[in-house]
Amino acid sequence: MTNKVEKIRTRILIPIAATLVLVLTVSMISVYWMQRRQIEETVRSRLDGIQLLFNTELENDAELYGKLIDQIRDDELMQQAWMKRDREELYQHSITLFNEIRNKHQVSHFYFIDLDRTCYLRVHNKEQYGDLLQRTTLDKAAEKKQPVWGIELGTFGTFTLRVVHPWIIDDQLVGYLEFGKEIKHLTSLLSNIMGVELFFAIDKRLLDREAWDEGMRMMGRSGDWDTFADFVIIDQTLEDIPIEMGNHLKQIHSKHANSRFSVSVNDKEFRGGFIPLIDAGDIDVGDIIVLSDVTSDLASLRLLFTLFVSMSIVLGGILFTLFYFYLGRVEHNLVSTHSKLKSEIDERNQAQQSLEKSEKLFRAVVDSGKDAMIAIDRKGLLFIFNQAAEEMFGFSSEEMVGQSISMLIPGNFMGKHSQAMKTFLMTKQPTSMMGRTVELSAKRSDGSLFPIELSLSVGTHQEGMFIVGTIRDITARKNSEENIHTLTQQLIMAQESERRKIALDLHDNLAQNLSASKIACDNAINSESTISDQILEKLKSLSLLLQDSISVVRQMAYELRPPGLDQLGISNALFSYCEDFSENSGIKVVYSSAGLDNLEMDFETEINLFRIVQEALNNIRNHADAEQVSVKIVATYPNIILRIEDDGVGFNVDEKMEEAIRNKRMGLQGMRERTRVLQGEIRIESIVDKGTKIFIEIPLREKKIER
Amino acid sequence: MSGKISVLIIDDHPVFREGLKTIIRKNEKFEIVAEAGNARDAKKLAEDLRPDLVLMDISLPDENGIRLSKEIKNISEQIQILVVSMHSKIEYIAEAFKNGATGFIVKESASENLLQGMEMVADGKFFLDSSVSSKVIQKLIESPDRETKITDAAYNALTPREQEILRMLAEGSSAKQCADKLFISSKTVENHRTNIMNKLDLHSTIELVRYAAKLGLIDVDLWK
Repeated sequence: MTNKVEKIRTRILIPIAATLVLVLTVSMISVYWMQRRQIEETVRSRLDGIQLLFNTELENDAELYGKLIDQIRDDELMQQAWMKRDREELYQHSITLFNEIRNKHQVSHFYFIDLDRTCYLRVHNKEQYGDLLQRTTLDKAAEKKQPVWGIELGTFGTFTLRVVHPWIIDDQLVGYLEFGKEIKHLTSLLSNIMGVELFFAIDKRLLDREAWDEGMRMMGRSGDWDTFADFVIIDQTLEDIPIEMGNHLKQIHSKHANSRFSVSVNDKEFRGGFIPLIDAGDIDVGDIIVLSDVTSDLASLRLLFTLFVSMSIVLGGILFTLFYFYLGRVEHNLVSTHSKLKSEIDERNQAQQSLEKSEKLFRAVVDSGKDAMIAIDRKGLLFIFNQAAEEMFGFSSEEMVGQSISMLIPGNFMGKHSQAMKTFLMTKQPTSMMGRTVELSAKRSDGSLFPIELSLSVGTHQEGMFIVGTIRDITARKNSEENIHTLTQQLIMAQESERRKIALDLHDNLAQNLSASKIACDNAINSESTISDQILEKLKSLSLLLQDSISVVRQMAYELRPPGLDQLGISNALFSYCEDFSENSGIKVVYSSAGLDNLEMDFETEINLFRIVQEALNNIRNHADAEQVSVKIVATYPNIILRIEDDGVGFNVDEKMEEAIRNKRMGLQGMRERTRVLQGEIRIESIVDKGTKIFIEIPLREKKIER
Repeated sequence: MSGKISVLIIDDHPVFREGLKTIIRKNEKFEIVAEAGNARDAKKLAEDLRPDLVLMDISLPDENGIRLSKEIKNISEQIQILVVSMHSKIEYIAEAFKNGATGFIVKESASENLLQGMEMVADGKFFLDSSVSSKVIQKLIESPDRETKITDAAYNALTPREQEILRMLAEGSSAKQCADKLFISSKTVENHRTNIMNKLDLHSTIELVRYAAKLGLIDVDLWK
C-alpha cells in the first residue's frame, strides 16, 4: 500500500510531462506551420507580383512601342522611302529615330518587313536583310492584319518582346513594321522591384546548342548549356545557379507550376517558385524561377522557434519541478496520513478484537452466572437480559432487549419504581437503592410473583448512565425463612403455653394445695383436741416447711409467667416487672403507659409485648451499662407503640444481629420474632456511647373471648 | 338475718375452701352461706344471697377475682370483699383495693390472719395482711421521689379516631393531610383536634407534640 502511494508522484508527473510535451509540440508545430505559411504567402505574393509586373511591363512596352510604330507608319518621308523601295533613304530616315528610341525606350530591334515576310531592313543591323522571318508574331499580324505583340525566343536563346504592326498606306497593306526589345532588362527591374532573384530557364528542345553558344558569345555572356539536362538558364540575377532547381525543372510546367523549393546560396536561404514563360505562340517555353530571400524570415522563424522551445523547456522545467516538489509534498502528506490511518485502523481493529473478546468473555460471564443479570439504559429500556434472567422470568432475551423493565415489576411496586427511575433520570444521581441489596418481589411472564434479592449498581458508558441489576430468586430461601419463622413462632408460642401451663399448675394447683395443706396443718395445730407436744412441734415445723415451699413455688410460677398479666393487664404487669427490674438491677426505669386501661388485648399480644420488654431490659442490664431506661407503651388506634430507650453504651445493630445469630443467642432475634408473631414492625437504633432505641409498633388485637 | 355475718367463699380449690371453712367455723359470728369454684357461680350466689362478706380468690378459672370484685360491688355496695390470694405483689393489692376490696390476705397466712381480717372487713374497715403490709409501706415511702410510672388518665378518654389524629398531628401532618389519609373532611379533623386539645388540656401544637413525645407516640431524639 505504501508503494502505491509513493508512486503517485510518478503516476501523475508522467502524464503531466507527456501532456506538456504534447501541448508544446503542437504549439511549436502550429507556430512553425503558421510562420511557414506566412513565408509561403510572401513567396506566393512575390511570385504573383513578378508575374503581374512582368506582364504589365510587357504590355506597357508593347503599347508604347505601338505608338512609336504608329508615328513611323504615318511619317510621310518614311512612307515615300518605303514606297520608293530605297533602302538607304529608309535607313537614313529611321536611324535617327531608332537611336533616339533605343536610348529612350530600350528598343533594340527595328524591322521593315515585306509582305512576303522577308526582312527588307534591319535598322539595328542594316547589313543583314532579305532573309525570311519566321516569327509567330509576324505570322499572326499577317494573318489578322492587325497589330500583334508577344515575347519570342530568339535563335540565340534570348527572349525578345516583339511588336508587329501591319503597314497600311492608302488602305493598302504594304508591309510590316516591327519593334523588338530584349526583355533581359526586365530581369534586373523585376528583381529590384520585388527583391527577388530571378532565373530564366528555357527548354533545351527549343534551342540549338550551336546557335545558343554563338548567341552567348555574341552578347558576351557566359552560359553553360550542360548545367541542367533539359533546361538552360538564359538569364539570371544570381551568379551561382542552385542545382536543386533542376529537379523541379525536369517536370513539365503544368506539374511544377505551384511547387516550391528551398535552396541555399551564399549563406542565404531562398524559397523558389516558378512562373511559366509563354511565348507569343502560346508555347510554354520555360520558366521564370523566382527565388525569394527568406533568410531573415527563416532566421526570425528559427529565433522564434528557438525562443519558443527554450521558453517551453524552461517553463516546462519549472512547471515540472514545481509539480515534482508539490506532488512530493502531497505524496509525503499522503504517506504520513496513510500510515497514520493505517495505524489507527490497526489500533481500531485491535480495539475491536479486544472488545469482541471482552464482549464474548462478558457474555460468557453474564450467561454463566446463576443470578439473573439485567441492565437498563437511561431511558429505562433493557439491553442486557442474561440466560439466568430468561429462565427466572420466562421471557427470552430477544423479547426483552429494548423493552421497558416494567414488565418484570409487580403492579403495586410500579409507582415506587417509576418514581425512583424518574428521580434517577432527572438528577442523574443514584437512588438510595444503589449499591445495596434489597429484597423485593418480581413478576414472571405468567404474571406470578416471586421474591427476589436485587442488587443495583450504576455504570456509565458513552450513551450515558446505565443501571445493572443482579437478581437472585430467593423463593426457596424465603420459604425456608418463612418455615424458620413459623417454627420459631410456634416454638415461642409452645414455650409460652408450656410455661403458662406449668406456671398455672405450680401456682394454682401445687401452691394452692400447699396452701390448703398449710391451713389444714395450722388448723390441726390450733384445734382444741389434745395433741401431744411432740406432734405439735412436728406440725409446726411442717407448717413452716409448707410456707417455704409455697414461697418457692410462687417464685417459680412468677418467673415462668409474668405475674398479674392475666389478672392485672399488660400495663400493670409491665409496670410491676419494671419495678422489680429496677429494684434488682439498680437501673432507673421510667415507665409510661397510655390508652391501655380500657383495652382487652389478646393473650398473644400481651405475652409477647411483655417478653419483648423483659428481653430488652435483660439486654440492657447485661450489656448496656445504662443509668436510666424509659419504657413507653401507648395505644394509638389501630396500633400499639412500644418504645424502650436506654442511655447505655450502644452497639452496632447489624454486627450484633449477626453475632447473635452466630452464637445462637435469641436476644435481639427473639424480639424480632415476637414482633413478627404480632405482625408488627420493629426498629432498633443504636449509637455507640449514646444508647439504644427500640421501637415496636404492632396492630392491636383485642381479646376474642367475650365475657 | 340472724345477726351472724354471712360469708361467701369464692375459690376454685376445694381443699383450700375446706381449710378456710375449718378456720371460719372457729368464730361463731360468721356463717358460711355458700361457696363457689368459679366467677359465674359466684356472681349468681352473690346476687341471690347478698352475703355480708365475700372471701375472694384472684385466680379463678373463668375470670380474675379483681374484676369479679368490682362486679360484686356493683351488685351491692354492702357486700364487703376480702381478697384471699396466692399473690403477694403490691400491684394485685392495689388493683384489688381499687376494685372494691377492702381487705387483702395472702393464702399462706390465712390460718393466722383470716379471722381478724374477716372481722375488720365485715366491720367496714380496711385490712392488710401483715406479710404484705411492709411492702406497701416501703412503696409508700419510695414513691414520692420515684415517679417511675407516668400514666395519663386523660388519654384513656380519647376515642380511637382521636388517637389516630393525635398521632398524625404530632408527626407533623396538616389537617388536610389527616383528612386525606382518613377519608374524612378537614373540618372533621379540625373538630377532632379541638376535642383532643380539650380532653388533654393542651393549648398549642407545641404542647401537643410535647405530650405525644412524653407518651412515646413520636420519637423525640434526645441524643442529637
